[in-house]
Amino acid sequence: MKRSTIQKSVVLAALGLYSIGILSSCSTQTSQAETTANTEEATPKELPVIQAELTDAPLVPAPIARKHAAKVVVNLEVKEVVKRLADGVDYTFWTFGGSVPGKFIRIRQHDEVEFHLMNHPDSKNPHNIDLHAVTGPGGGAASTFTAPGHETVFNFKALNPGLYVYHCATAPVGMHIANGMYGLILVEPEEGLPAVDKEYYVMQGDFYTKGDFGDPGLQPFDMQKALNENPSYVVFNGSVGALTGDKALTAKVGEKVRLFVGNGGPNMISSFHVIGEIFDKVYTEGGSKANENIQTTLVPAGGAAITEFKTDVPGNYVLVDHSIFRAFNKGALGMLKVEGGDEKNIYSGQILDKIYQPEGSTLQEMPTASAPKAAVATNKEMRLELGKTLYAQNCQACHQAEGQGIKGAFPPLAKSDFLNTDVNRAIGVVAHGLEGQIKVNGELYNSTMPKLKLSDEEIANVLTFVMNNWGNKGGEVTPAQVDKAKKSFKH
Amino acid sequence: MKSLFCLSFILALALSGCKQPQPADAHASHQAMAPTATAVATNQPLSDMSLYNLSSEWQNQNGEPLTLPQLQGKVQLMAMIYTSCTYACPRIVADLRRIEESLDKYETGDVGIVLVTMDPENDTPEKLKAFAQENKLNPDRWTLLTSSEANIQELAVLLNMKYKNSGNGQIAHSNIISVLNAQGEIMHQQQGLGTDPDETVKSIEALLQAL
Amino acid sequence: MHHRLTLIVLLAVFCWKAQAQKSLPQAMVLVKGGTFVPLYGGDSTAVKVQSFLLDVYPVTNQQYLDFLQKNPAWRKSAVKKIFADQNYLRGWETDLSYGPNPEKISNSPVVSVSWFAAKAYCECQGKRLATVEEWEYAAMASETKANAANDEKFYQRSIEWYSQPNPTYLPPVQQSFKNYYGLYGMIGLVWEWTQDFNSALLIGESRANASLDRQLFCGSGSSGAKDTKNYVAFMRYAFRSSLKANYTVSNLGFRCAQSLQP
Repeated sequence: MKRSTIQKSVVLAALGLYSIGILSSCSTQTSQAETTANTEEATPKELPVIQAELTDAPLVPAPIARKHAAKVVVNLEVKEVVKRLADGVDYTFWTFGGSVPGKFIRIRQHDEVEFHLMNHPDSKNPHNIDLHAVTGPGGGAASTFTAPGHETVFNFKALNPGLYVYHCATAPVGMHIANGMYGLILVEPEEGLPAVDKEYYVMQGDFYTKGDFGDPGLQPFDMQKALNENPSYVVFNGSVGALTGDKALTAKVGEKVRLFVGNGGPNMISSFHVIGEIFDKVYTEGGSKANENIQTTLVPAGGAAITEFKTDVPGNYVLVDHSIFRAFNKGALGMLKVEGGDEKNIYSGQILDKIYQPEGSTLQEMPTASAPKAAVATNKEMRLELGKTLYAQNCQACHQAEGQGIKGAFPPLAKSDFLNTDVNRAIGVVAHGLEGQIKVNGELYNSTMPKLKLSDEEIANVLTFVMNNWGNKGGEVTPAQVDKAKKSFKH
Repeated sequence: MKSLFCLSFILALALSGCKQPQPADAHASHQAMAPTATAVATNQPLSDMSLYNLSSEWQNQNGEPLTLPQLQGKVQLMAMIYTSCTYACPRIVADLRRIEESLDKYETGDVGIVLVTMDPENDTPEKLKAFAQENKLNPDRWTLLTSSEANIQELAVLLNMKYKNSGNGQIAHSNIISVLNAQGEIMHQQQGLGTDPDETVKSIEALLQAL
Repeated sequence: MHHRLTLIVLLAVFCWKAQAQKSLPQAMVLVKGGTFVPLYGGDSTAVKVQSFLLDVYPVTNQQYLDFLQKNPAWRKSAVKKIFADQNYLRGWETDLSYGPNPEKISNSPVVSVSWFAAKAYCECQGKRLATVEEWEYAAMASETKANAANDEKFYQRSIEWYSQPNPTYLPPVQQSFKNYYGLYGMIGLVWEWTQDFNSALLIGESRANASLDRQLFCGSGSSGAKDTKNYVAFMRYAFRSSLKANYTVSNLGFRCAQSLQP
């Protein structure tokens, strides 16, 4: 392999011709040998030839049913296309098969793959392919350097099972990957993967555009941002929203879901997480060993992972890169919609809400929630108005929109005897928080109410709002009253 | 009227004036003294992919003129070297000799070996001859060729050679041994130095059986 | 030999006159020599380029058609596959007609021509293809500067062009970007053949065999490069090294160069 990539096709063509020559001479030899022993050579040599089924994300080709190796022909076409990166934002993607990520390739261990890489005549650039599933120089890149309007072919044998990334490796390689030239190839182990109900293909990638996130128009590649590893976009399956809305992944309650997760990079490492699910199994880094009960799995740039979980509860499950600013500000969001009947024993536990409760209090410490320059109410009407907003921001998550609370977890504020009996005690609870068991309208509650960072003015407003709604006794709470009550109700 | 005249004048000149691919056998008449000429018994029309479609003129180590179609009729091993090269080229020659040894049983009339210089400025026919003698290359088997830089480049690109003269007497180059069939088509290429010649030998033997 | 040279010179004159009627005159400009640092150079970083002449425009469809009128061996139906692959003049309807909309592309650069064809065309004009170093040297120029290697805007514009797929119709050559030397379309129109396109991957030091194995994939592409940030040049070198001499590509054309008389 001392020579450059490009004349490989001629060599291959020549080898093809050459092997025809060899084959014909061989066949005369075997015909002589046939009389003695014809069984040994014939069967193992003749692999059945199969055309590989390739799919676009999020779909995955069907599991391999055959129990023997085959010669698998893969035809992959490189195209440079202008497509949507986000709403109103286009980008010139360089693709394996017309979209990002590239086509999913599924083969079986010990298969012999005849790989055809075609570069569309309208391409501006030469391309090649480095499949991490290949053992050999450049993972195939050395043999597939392909000018526009040309096709190269090489063969490889899939020695190791696993989930592998493939990508273009033409100089400047970073730019080829940054433009979307990556995909996944699955080499199933001989025994296959355990059966599941749903399989999906999710691949993360980072993009570097001249404009900021969301800047409209056809955005060119920004080399400096790429060098600084400062992406404008981090997305699943090639665009913002490729896996949300009506393009969300779907499953039914009780189904086993397997996600083939890849990360094309070029720069970012993914902290792949599905909000509200625990991966029962993760084949870490796409390898053969499964780890169990995983919340977040790291997917390296140029790496992959297989995650599996059973859907227990209906609802929407959000796929994120848990480097969370990427999820909320750069597009790394996807969704799995799980449909089916409620699973009460899991659903009604409300354990997840409890865990999130302390986070609610931190939110309340954010400047927007307790703005120091909050308006000061001059009359009861204003107090009610301001109190309504404060309630929505600080209380509603637990005590609910109509003050009804959640039975067993959060006591009701509507027609609440605890509240109406002693408003000053209520002021103390809001000002200092509450821990320990209380009885509200005959029900025992034993959870924690966080200390709210509210000013006296705000406490007055929100309690005035509460007292004048949902069948409570009315009246006005003033800042002076709050100041006084705060001091007498401490714990 | 004037341009018409021009046109016909140009047409008359075009064949000789512009360098272009033309049937190589048009040249085949004035080449009788070349050592390999005897082998060119079958002057079949060349296939599209034959290297011998190049109509360039060359000189061998004896200073005799030669055109590529004269290499027709036997299997040729072709490689590019330059004689002042101290590292890679001796190894290419060694690799070729290794292949030659395993082909001992075949007539020199069936398999030839062609070395093409990448350094026409320095590698005169005399230099090439001296090189052949130093390396004890059997003149019945080995042909060493030189031509103009442009002609060499044309052949080099067809052999998929990459090379660059760095100007300090060194030429960076790839190392390829090509197997050409009797019609001058590339049938196999061995890349690198010290490569196991097994495949190359097999490909030659397959071609020889077809002769 | 001398006899032949005279013929070429004569021929070049007549070729030019015959073409002048239909096509743009193929004028040349002087590219004043100097030194520069190519992406892949020799032992020393800076390379000297002698002053040379370069065609103002890439060769157009009409000019190439004129060439084919006089050189039947290079027509689509006649050319040997070893000199031009089966996509040669892809899009041309017949041997002597370049498409259903001739007026749209008569002055567009001819593309899908092989190295051999480009070389033959230039030789027929008494010219030659530019070397990689000459071409790269001339392409460093922006509108206002001979060396715009450090011009951020020029660089970004180039990289944007190299990222875009081909347009349906290539624009006429005279409408493309004109650089400091008066050369049109060095960047932003088509890739162009160079004489020693097959030297792209190699760097000096021929003793160390390993260093000859610099292939333009993965990291190794950057190991011999002088400026790993110059993606524009990388793309050109990568493109060149993907080629073989009989390849034809639908965005690869050429222009001719000439050495100055000594």
